[in-house]
Amino acid sequence: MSLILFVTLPLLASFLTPLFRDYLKYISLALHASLLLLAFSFIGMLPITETISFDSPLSISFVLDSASLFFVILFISIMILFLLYQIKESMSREIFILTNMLIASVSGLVLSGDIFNIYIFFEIASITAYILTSLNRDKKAYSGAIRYMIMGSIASIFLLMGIMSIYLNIGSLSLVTIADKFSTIDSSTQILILISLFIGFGIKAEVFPLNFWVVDIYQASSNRVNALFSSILSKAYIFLFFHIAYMLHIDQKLMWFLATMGVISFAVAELSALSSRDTKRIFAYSTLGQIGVLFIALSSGDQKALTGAFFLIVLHSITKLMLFLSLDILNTQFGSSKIDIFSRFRSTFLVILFAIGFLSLLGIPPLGGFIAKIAILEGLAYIQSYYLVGAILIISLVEAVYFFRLLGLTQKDTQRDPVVISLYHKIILGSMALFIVYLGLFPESLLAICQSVASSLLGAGHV
Amino acid sequence: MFDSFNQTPFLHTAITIGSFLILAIGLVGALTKKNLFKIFISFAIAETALFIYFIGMHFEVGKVAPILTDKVTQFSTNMVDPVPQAMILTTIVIAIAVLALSLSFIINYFKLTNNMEVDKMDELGEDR
Amino acid sequence: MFSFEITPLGSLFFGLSAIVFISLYLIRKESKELLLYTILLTSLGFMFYAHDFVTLFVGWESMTWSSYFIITRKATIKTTQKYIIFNLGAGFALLGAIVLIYGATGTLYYNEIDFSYISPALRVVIYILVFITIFIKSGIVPFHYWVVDTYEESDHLFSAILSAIISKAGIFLFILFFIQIVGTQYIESQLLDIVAWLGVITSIVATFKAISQDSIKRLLAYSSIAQIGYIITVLSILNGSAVEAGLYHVTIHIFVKLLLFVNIASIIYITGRSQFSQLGGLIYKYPVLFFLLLIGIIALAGMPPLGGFNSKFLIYTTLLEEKRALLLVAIMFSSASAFLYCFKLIYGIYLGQPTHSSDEYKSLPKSFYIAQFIGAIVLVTLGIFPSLGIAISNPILISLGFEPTVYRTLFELNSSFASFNGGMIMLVFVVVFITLLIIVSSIKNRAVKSRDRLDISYCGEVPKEENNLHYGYGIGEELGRIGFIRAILSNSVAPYWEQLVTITRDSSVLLKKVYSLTVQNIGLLIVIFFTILLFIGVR
Repeated sequence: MSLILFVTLPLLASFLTPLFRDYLKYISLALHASLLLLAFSFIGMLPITETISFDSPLSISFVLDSASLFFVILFISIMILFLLYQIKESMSREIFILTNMLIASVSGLVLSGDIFNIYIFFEIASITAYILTSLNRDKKAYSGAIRYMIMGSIASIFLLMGIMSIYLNIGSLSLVTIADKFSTIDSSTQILILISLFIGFGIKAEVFPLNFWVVDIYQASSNRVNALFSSILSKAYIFLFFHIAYMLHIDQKLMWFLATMGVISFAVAELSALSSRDTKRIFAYSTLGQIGVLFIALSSGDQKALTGAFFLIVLHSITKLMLFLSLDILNTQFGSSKIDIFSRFRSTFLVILFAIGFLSLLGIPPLGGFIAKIAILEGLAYIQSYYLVGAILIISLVEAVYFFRLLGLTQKDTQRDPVVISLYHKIILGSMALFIVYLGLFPESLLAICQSVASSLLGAGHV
Repeated sequence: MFDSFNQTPFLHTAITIGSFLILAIGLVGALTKKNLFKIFISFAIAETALFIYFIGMHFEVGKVAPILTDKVTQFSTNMVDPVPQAMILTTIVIAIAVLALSLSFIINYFKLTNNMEVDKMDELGEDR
Repeated sequence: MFSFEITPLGSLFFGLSAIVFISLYLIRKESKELLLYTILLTSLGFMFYAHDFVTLFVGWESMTWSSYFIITRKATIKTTQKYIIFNLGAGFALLGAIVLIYGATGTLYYNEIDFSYISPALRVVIYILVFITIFIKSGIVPFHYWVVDTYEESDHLFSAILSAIISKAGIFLFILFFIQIVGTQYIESQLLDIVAWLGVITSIVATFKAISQDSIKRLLAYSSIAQIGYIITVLSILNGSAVEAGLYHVTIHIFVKLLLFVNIASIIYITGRSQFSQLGGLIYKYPVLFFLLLIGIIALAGMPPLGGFNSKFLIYTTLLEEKRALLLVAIMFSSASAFLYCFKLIYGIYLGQPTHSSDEYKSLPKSFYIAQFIGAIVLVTLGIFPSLGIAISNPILISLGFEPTVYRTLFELNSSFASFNGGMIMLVFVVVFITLLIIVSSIKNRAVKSRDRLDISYCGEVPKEENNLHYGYGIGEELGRIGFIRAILSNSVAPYWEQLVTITRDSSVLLKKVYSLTVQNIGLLIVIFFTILLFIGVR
């Protein structure tokens, strides 16, 4: 069983779309389920390096270590949950093709073993994202898609600059060789490369000051697409960012710089969310804030903090999937995404979903988000980054203001219409919420997995 | 007389300066032009600059293009490094695809709003 | 992931909480609230019986959010926002302290943490964080901004829980953290001095604010803040008799506030009114409720023969032993002033003249009486057997490493300065009371009864319907003439907190603009950022 299947099977299925006619959603589910099984079959066999073609220096290789496998499984699982949610609706061809492309490109990003392949998958993922943004086909969607493309083109240019400099100075595209030889380049070129890569990957990873475009895009796309962006796409780019960072053994000062950018990300995003009146934008700000926290945690270099970061990635993906799908229900029912829809609906189920989602994002026990947060904070305290600990706690308080404002609106005494949610949707969303609670009470197994992922990331580049 | 221009370092310097200029033109165009088409064409120009730079920096005077034929079946040392060429070919294809996609978005957007100016794109924002 | 240990300290707090919950449960049985109340009680269990800080924190935060959902059912958004922000602030401060302890010692189990491993500077930071947590939860000035509105606007029975139990969470944390875990030798005495004075200042300020309130629940809220202030002050002494005095006062206060809040809930249920100016003269129709409130008042004010006196006695004794004369004077001043709001409470509702006719009164379900009788019985029992409280707190003292207090009989309360016999005092009181009751009721038959509430013609006036004859509600209005009290009453922490809110909101609006830039501006910024980084990096 080859690693290429993660990339080729979904793309092949996309090409065969006309053949599948009306059974698209079942084919899609079957495809992703089999990919998930394939991923699980690799569990005992790590690490794997698969060389696809010719000899060096042209070789294209796919590398599977525990971090990549973790992310592949996470992405495919989230996609399966997403597809299961939509199973009662007919699947349009675009969704079929785009979800396949998304999984293919994101798996490629995570599995790829040479830097140019990463660029290719980076571009494929970007194209998928552009089209996903425009799916609504209205003015906002196209406006958002065009803006996204402009930002994406800037990112490609910087990324290409970085990759070209790497090849010019090292002469190989393979990540392993680059990791070995990177320190031999002279330092000003190193800086140039690192900055180009930072901007190229950072625009997509949505870190301050490169994330000013994100919120508009979330407003432009439909909520289902936002769920995919928030859960899958941004996590892939963040992992990629730090995978490369740890591979290149960047030194303490640069890690400190990344942490600072993370803190500023978190602070600016959460503060901006305070005065926002549009629910989609609020969720977008929240995503940016959590990405800031991830940057702080992932750049610390501490085992425990990284464990917490990966735990947070899992939690955040599921939570944002659940929250955006719930928001979708509200937005379609009321036709508006302004904040006052929270005072117009009556549904205990939705209130509980939102409550679990928000409390988990804030890191309040006994939900999963708390485990992630305390692991991150413990790791940061261990390496004595006390300012980071304080910053995270204070800004979380800011986050609490607007989340609880939304919850408070659901309890206000106003004219309320009942919300119709089908039983099937309730089951899917409810099981996501239950999973979040479960992870808060019994986090041990996932923590162990995240710990091994953290070790593999920290040891990246040492072959 | 032209031999002094036919030296590799001179070539590299010329390519560097030239591609930097084109990159600057492209970026300036992308960031200051108002018409949507012009923005994306400027991006294409900027990317072209990078392509030229990359290929150019790998070129050395006296070397041959790395193309295999019936007679030449192996990569030999008087050929330029084939990897960048392969890379750039792929990248050009990607850039074309992205450009085509962007143009289709612009057309669709124009059909809906009759607007071609990036400044007047105000559908998104806090109060919409 | 969680670890528990049944400790005497935890059992005392949890047992008292359970009693309060059960007595309140008998009154209110709506199913949605039942779930939330159960979650609240469970989280209290986690908190009180925790054996490591993670479990404690889980219980603490669960207490916060389950209370939040109960409060939002009745309160306005502004108040619930204040509640949750302050209490989450307390929670996050506690979390900060916890992770700092973990970072320095590598463990979070109570019996494994050794504060000698932590540097003095870090220790002070941890202490300050934990003190902030305690202050916010207990409503110590200046963190009391959330308390009064929350108590006032919540459901009346939940206010009883807020006042009786949730305010004690901070006290529990105080004893647990500073005495059990840290140990008294690692804490700087200047910090404790500040804490003691903050407690006293809180009680003085809150006492006078209580006197000036017209809303009954707000008066009780301020009173709760004041009483907790006493406990904080006495606990800052950090020795065995301090813990004993503190725990005794905790016990008394729980039952006092249970009694008082349920009594007030009954009144509001019956009459539909919750302001002193709208009540009055209810003793005639509800003498039992009056008598129950009277018991509560006597205990609240700390007068013999009820248990309230014992705790005040122990507090004063502790302060005297440590020769903290200024603190003692301040507490006595605050305690004496508390008489004013105690009196206002009972006079404003039950005595004086009625302000409206009693036609729309509802009848009170009997279940309201249960909680009040439980409170009353406990207070009377502790009055008769004062050393019962000592007996209860002795196991806790032993578990904390202090010497247990020796007492001769349950009837007597002994201290290093004096002792008294509670049983004897109660006996004398009861005898005198019954004697006076017999005398007065035999005289009463010769008094003239008025026909309706406006019939005061024997005073030579004929009042109209809208004249408010119930002057008792204005107790404390004239206090504002005293400069010192006027200073307290006219100042408030609200502007400072509101300013913080305004600053945050303004910065939010400012920062939000950054996310509304056009794409080209963003691109420009990125290119500028690139060049800046390049210059910095190459240098």
